[in-house]
Amino acid sequence: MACASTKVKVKFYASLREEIGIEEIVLELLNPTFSALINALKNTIKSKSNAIVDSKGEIRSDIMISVNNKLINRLNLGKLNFEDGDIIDIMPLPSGG
Amino acid sequence: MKVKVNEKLDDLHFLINQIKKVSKNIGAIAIFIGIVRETSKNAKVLKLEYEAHETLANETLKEIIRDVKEKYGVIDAIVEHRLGSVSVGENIMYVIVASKHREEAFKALIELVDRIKHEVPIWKKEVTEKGAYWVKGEKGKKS
Repeated sequence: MACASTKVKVKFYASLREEIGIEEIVLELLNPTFSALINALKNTIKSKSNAIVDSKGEIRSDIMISVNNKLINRLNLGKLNFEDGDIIDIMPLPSGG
Repeated sequence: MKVKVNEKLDDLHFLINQIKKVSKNIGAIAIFIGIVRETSKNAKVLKLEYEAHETLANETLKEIIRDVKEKYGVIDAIVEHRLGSVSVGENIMYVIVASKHREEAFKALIELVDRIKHEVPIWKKEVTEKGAYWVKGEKGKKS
């Protein structure tokens, strides 16, 4: 029996978009978790992964993440459980004004 | 409360008149205007380019205004921020705070401007004679 996957859209903003060279991408996750998302992203952007993860493979401290337009506190990233069609925004820290 | 993240700012006098209409108890209005400087880190600035996550930016601005109104007891606030290309000398941002007395308006204004810079998903690219680069954001006190 085939495993159901979860399809999510990931969007990159500003400096991250230019550094990674991708504006948005659709990923199919076998597990709907944040760690599965990070692994899928690392496999996709390969050498550009250090734009979003640190040397320990964890999400960088200067990255903000929102899901369906709700900003996620980084302490709660591990609790995320994605659903089909979720839109995940990966953003640098603000520099407006 | 009014927030706007857009290619154009509204007329400042229009905004002042708008906030004055909120209450007859307004006795002070404090205003911050962000302007594009000609130099940055010894380089001549040609222009700034702003990008935002517009939905999140608007929601975050409203949340910050709600917080600051509650903390300082100010009557109302308006924030407008430009997007796109902004030339030297042009206005980038208006932050307008109305209150009964000046003291809470000044305090609220400082906190609003600081939190906007650190919490609202807006990003700035400086285009200078030495090249173009994204300005790196810093974590705010609350982050």
